[in-house]
Amino acid sequence: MIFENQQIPVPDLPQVEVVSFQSLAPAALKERYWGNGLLFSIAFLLLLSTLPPVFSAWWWLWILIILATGFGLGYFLRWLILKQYEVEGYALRQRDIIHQHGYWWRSQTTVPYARVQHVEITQGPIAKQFGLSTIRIYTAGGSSSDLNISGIELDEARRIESFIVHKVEVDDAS
Amino acid sequence: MTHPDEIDFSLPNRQSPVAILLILFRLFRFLFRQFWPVLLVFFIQPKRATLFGLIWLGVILAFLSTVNSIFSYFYSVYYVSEGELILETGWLRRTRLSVPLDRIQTISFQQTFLHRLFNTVSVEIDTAGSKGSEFSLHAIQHKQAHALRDFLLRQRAEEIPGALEEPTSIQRKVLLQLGVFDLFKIGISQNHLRTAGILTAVGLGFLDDLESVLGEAVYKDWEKTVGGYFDALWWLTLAFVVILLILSFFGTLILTAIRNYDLQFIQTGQGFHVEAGLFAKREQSANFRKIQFIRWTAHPIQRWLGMFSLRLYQAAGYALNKQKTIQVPGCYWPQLETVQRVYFPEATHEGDWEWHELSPHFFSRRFLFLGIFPAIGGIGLSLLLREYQFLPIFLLWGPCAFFWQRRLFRTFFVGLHPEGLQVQEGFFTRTTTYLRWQKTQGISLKQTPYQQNHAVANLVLHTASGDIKLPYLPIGKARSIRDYVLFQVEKKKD
Repeated sequence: MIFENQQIPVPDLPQVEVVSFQSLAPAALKERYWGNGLLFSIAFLLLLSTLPPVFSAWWWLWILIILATGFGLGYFLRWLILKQYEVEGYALRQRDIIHQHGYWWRSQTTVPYARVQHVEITQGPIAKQFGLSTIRIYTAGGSSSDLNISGIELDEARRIESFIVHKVEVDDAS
Repeated sequence: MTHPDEIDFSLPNRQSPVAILLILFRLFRFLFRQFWPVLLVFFIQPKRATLFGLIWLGVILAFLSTVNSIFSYFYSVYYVSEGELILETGWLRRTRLSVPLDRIQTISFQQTFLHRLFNTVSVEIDTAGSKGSEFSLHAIQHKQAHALRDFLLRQRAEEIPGALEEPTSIQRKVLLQLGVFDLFKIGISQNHLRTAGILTAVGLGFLDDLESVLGEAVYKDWEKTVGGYFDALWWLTLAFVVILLILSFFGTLILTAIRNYDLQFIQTGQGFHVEAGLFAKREQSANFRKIQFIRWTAHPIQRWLGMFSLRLYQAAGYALNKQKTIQVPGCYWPQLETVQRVYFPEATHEGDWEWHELSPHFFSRRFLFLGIFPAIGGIGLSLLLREYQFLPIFLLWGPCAFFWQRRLFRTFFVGLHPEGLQVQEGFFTRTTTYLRWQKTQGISLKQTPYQQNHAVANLVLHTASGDIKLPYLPIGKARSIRDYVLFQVEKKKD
């Protein structure tokens, strides 16, 4: 084997930054509104049930405050979900896949196909209603480096899966 | 036993009959741990009516578990077939576990005291993959275990051409053998406070158990009689702390000596090998190709003694990380140099390294959260509660945190090399980490809102043995490192 170690000018390297990201399916936004809304409502009601009952002339004010808090928090949640949806995206390149997510805490994870162990597609009950699915890409790096893209149309997810699996096989064969 | 090389591993082999004993021993130990408070009650107050019945239950349990272990022994076999190592166990419910030979990452031997009595070892075979599956044999003869290991390594070499470039599996070079003085040095440089913590926790747990067993009344009575002799609680506490510290010091010293007795750090044809231990001998091997990254640390006492503690991080399932890390608790610079030269031969050329500091935001941010906020909170609370005696601590906290975080920032360096990475960090404990780009499984660029505003980012390199985080790099640098690492990983095969 000949050892090669040519100098590579850094600006010539393919850059992740110039990649244009594919957004999630539009239905994913609806799915997240529903899923999170349901969860939030249940949590809010549970919290309410722990409050002691109030017997006073001002009971209507309490109800108003609780309702306002509920709507306020709900609206904030809706805004956050929208922002997160706008940021989130993925990109398939020739040799790796990139996933970007998080509105406040941004994160961009790249996994080369050469390091993929296996790919899994899952579909939860709510996602099923919207025809969406989650694709997980496993590496040997454990859960911290596994890619987990939620909110892709099932057909699209299957296409991505077969694309990646094919890439991994080609890499192994060469 | 015939010559070890004549064992045919393609035929079903049984473990050593010692396995029966071991299975039983484990079971009884487990039962004892669960039920010792009950036993204690019987020793203290033996006139319970249920005693007789319980003894019978014990006898029946013992009989059943003996039968179970004997049957388990006869029904478990292991063999190699069509490139797979297969373990079949269970007599009521058969289980078949197979591991492709080319997936085997490490083969390690463990020897407890019981194993030693019968000259056997337990064999643990680990595989790669994010869900690490483990294959273990309770007890097989020492010679047979070595033969199995050689056989598996040879088989794997045939499966993967080039996995074994030179047949040097017998070539063993002892890099380090710890003597008595070395053991003593390692012993005194261990973390004694941790032992003190463990001792306290065990002691408190024991008292708790005792209380629940003896009943509160008896316990309180004891406390009164014992407590009566010591009026000065302060002296008692002080004496207790001093005794605890002395106990911890000697405890760690003795434990370290037992654990690392006759430690040998060996370089073999395929990697490194560590064996040590007085009663329970442990043997660990790391294959060159499976070492993900290497790291050595030295705290002030170790630096004063010229010692380092070395860790070789191997590929393993996420949950198994700890077991797969090979640790040499005390070694010297020549051993580190050897390991570094094997893992990262190109690193020795100083001119290839490009060094970077972190962004000063690393310091200001950490000082704010670990220094200013706690100090303000503490000062405010002590003024509010009029507990002025704590005030000096919180007033001093700010400057201390400033010094501490500044040192941390000033001693954090990231070295970049065409083939890999070197990270130097730490204030009390100096840590050096080497990672080859090739070992990266994935790479993440993360930014908190603050970091987005100040154009810095955390870069996380995921490896098969844990993550390496480079905090607060200027965003441009972080991006170009990421692009370069991806290029390195994708251009050629590992």
